[in-house]
Amino acid sequence: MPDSNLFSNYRSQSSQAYKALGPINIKSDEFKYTSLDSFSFEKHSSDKVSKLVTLKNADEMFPGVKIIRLSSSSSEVEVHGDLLSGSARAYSLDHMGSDFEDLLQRIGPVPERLQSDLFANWVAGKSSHEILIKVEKNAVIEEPIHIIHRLDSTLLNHRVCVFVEEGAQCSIVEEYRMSNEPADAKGIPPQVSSLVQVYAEQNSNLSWVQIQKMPDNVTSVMRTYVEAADNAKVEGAQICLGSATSHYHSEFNSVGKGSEIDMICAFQGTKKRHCDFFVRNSHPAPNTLSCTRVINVVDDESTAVFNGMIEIPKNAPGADATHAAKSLVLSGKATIQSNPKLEISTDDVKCAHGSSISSIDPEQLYYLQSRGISKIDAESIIVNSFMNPALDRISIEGVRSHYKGLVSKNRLSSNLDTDTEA
Amino acid sequence: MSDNKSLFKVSDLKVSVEDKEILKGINLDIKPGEVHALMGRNGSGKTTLSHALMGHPSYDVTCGDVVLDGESINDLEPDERAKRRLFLSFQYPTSIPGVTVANFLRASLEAVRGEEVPVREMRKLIKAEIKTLEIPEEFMNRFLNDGFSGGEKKRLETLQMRLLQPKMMILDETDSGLDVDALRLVSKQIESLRSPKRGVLLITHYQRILNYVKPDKVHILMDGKIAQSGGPELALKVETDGYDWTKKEN
Repeated sequence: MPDSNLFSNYRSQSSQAYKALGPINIKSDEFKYTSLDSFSFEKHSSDKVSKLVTLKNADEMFPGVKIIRLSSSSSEVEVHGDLLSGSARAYSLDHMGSDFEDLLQRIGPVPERLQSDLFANWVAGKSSHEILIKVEKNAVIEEPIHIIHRLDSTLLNHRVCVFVEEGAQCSIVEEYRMSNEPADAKGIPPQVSSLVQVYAEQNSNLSWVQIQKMPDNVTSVMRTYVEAADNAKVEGAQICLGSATSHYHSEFNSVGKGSEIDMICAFQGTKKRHCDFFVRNSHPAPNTLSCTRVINVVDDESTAVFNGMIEIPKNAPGADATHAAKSLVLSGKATIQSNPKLEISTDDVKCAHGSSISSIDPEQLYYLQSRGISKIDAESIIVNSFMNPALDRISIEGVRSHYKGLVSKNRLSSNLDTDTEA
Repeated sequence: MSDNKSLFKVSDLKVSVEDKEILKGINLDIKPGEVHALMGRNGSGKTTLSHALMGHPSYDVTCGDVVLDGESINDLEPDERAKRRLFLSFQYPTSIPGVTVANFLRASLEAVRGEEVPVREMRKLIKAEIKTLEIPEEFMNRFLNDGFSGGEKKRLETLQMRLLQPKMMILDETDSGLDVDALRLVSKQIESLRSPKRGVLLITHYQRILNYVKPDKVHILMDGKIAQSGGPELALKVETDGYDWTKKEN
């Protein structure tokens, strides 16, 4: 018999796991460089609104596009796209019936690789909104699906699951942004946390980009699990352009033979912003390919950390894995930490990891200036060129140009006290 | 000729790089409509002169003055010089991965004009120029000089020059890296920019580009100084006799 309470049970399990895990081990590799002391698990009230699902026909605004919106007093999530065509659908996980039991079991309380992660369990147990995007078998979704997570006051705590079924193709752009500058609630800084689970089934093709641009008083903790089945291809980016402190833990899992996962993790740091990417690429299946590029542009007193791990277990020959970190340092007070590691337990694999750190090339600056472009604009262009490989993966033109503009603005506003949002 | 009739005047210019004096007192006087060729062997200071004139921050001007259209540009940043319509066609243009040619051209044209250039106008301008220079349209979506052949880089430099319509053009070995057909094409475009109001300083090793772009004056640079100045016959003499005689005569 299908268990209609399966998802509720999972939530309870995650809540209990979160309680059992206890405080963060600040000495662990993952948290060695990132203080999350200000992150409050209980002080914010999680204002859960699972019943208020608004299905809005937005034909007048965007012909052919439908919006699904879930909102509470502190946060909101909107899903834009061709969602009612029958080939791609968005659901609230809380409202999924027994027909979805198989999917729910795949989703689980949290992915196995994140079972010991305090934040993943916390989001899974306490999330205010849970969204499932399901792209039907062999469907080709031409228009990108656009998910907007909006922080309205002090807490955004969202879970997103994406299933791209066999042979399907689609593109998803996921934005984390604010409505207004969120105020501290009783001295507690606003915070954002998310758990994203992406499942690309065999022979599917997914482009997935996650962008976070929160104001300077926000702490963001992002947890991601990507799984690619046989011959599936996932290409994407995680882009961090905001928050005081951001901590990413991403698990990219090549579980199917011949699968490919190609990701870019990018951070632009200004003022005293800090971003920490912890990325693990696992290759349990044979003949898999993964490439994770990390791009950091750090200015003022910002700091960036990359902890990378490539894991290739026994009986998984033919893996080809790369971790490459590239950083542009624009200030003497900005710092970079880069720690790529390998754990290889089989022969016949190709693995590479490396880090490079540079400053703005004076010859590039001079060339641009010789064409009339002012020094400050030339620096902006060079910073953009560094970030562009990630930004160019945003498949919605308006969103892409908006964030390219923001990268330029961030550069121009470095050393200023105020943040700007277009 | 008095100063006010000069378009581009270089007076007693001395330039050092990392405390080593490379240029030891250069004098040039280019009037509107004139093409001057500057020839010299490797290491004579030709490229140092071109970058010093454009304002490269690594080249330290220790003495002398550079005047464009009656205004000293010695203390100006390279972008300010470009806005006054001085253009340097680089011998080795710098690559900037991540910046597309189309975006770069638009940023450059807007900066030099000091106003926004509508997309439609930009497209029209580029379309006309790439046809003239036999450049494929896909070129515009490539990253700036990234993976370009020598010939492609020179064509892009020429395209920029045509778009920006400078008053004074310095061409630093534009002929290097070009095959005979490309040299003819690029030379034709340079020649087409010749006008009674515009000046050209054409820096080259060889006489062959001067078969297409006819100079009014030719200068020979030796060891950081102009050793000889004369008419087009000077370039022909270099072609037949090399540079050694200029040293002996000097």
